[in-house]
Amino acid sequence: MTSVSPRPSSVWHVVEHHAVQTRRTMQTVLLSGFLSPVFTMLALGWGIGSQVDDVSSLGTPDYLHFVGPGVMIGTATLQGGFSSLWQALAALRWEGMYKNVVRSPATFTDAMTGRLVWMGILNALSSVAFLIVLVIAIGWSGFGALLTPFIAGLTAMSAAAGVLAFTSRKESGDGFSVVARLGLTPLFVFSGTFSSIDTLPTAIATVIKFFPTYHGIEVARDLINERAEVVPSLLHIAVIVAWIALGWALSFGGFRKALTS
Amino acid sequence: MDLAVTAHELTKRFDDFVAVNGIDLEIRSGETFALLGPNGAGKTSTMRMVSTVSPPTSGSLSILGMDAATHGREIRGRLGVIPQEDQLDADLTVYENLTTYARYFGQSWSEAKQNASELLEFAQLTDRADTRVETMSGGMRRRLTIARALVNSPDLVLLDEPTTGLDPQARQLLWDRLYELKERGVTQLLTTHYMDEAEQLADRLVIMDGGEIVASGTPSSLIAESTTAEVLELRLADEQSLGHDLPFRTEVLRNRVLVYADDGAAALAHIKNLGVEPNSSLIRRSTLEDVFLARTGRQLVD
Ligand SMILES: Nc1ncnc2c1ncn2[C@@H]1O[C@H](COP(=O)(O)OP(=O)(O)OP(=O)(O)O)[C@@H](O)[C@H]1O
Ligand SMILES: [Mg+2]
Repeated sequence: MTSVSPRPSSVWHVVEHHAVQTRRTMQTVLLSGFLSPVFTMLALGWGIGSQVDDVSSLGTPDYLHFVGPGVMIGTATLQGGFSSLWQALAALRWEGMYKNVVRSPATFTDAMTGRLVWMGILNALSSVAFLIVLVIAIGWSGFGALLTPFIAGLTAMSAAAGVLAFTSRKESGDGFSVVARLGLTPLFVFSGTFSSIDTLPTAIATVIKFFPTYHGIEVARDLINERAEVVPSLLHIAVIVAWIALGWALSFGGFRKALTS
Repeated sequence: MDLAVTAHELTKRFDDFVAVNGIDLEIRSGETFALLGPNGAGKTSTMRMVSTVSPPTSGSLSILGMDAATHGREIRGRLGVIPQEDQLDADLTVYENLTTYARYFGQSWSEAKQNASELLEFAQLTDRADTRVETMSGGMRRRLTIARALVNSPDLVLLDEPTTGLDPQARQLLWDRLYELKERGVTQLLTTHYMDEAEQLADRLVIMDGGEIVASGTPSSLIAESTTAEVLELRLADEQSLGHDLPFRTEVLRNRVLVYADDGAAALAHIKNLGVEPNSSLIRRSTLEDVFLARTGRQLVD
């Protein structure tokens, strides 16, 4: 209650705490964060990719070069966003993980921040595994690809932060399926993941550009294809970071009320 | 005298509702201090303020010599807090519950592991170290919650209804652990709605009701001030009554009548002389329950 700014050491303790908990659910994490996206990518890249004769409009050598980074960042969005639904509600309300946290020297902002940082780290790590498979499949294109897990981590954080702003005010899971079906799934599908957003109606493409996933995919795709330029990339990253900041700020009141009233 | 907690005009409001209404507290280092009160008295609200988790609406609060409003992190680093409801990491093992929590207090993993082993010993959970919390009984969970609150060797331990919902055996085991803490010189602030728990554990206590302190003192001084040495409990047949001109204070409860007299046997003789023949009678010593009844006109636990 003294100060509301997070303290790095306490944030780190929250990250560690989540890491210990995640060890217990490693199978689910591996399945949804690594195996499932790898299968999606390979099935689409090799399966659908073989049916696509003309890849010139995609601007990549083949479909796998296009869909790989799309699935990587799309998955980070789903994983980050989903983690802020039931799991976040449980940690904040019923299981009381964060209620314990605020009885230690840590504060509610450490809890929020630690949660988001952990989602970033977890998704960056599963993206490393994903990237390895991708590179095996498409060949080594250059060092730029090594930055993509970082982009995936940031995108996961931004989705987690955005959804957390919603969940932090809720005492039950009402509306979670709406967020998942009408928010996260469309973001995964329509952010230029499987085809260029130019193929979408203009209005929808404009809305999509407002959200972080599209920007993450653009940067990751440029990095994988060794065509990233500094300024456009930083602008894309700025949108993602802005979402993290916005989600954090909008979660603040909910966390404070739930943990310190 | 060294004070572990000083509260002045401490108030907690939830919107328009006043949960804690300007209470004063002084808790001395090394003592065990109890907040005794019925449901809704404001005990938990008070504990949450003292644990520097919930900011007071108004009033001043100093914990271990530091201002709660400005030194939350430092204060919490030296507190051990046992909340009313166990909030353990159900998916983690007993041991992991202790080590992960110790990290929040700045301990290295090796310190945390060392401490965890000692605490498991203290809480008599050593053979459960690798058990997942999900599968444990209420009594074991409560002991783990207490062990976890001690990871930082706190100077002040806050226990919110430590034994509510436990069977008598589990309760006694917990009380033994709390005595041991007291012998180590740890200051304890506990809440309870069991008068026997307050009598057993507390050096001093306050009785809270409706957000206010209605009485304070040692268990024996409160009993001496507010009630008689003995109480005669009578069960009367439906049509019987004691009349109005007895020389004793009486309380008529749902299924019995309490007659307050320093000499219960003499009081019973007196009543029988008036021609009243109770279905049953019992003479006992006065307790804090009687103090609460005298001060508020209500029973502590319905
Ligand atoms: N967050 C809150 N918002 C609104 N009212 C609250 C809140 N917390 C507590 N109250 C109210 O404040 C009053 C005191 O509650 P508190 O939990 O402090 O009592 P208590 O003495 O601990 O009771 P119990 O023995 O049931 O645990 C109750 O009437 C309760 O409903
Ligand atoms: Mg309570």
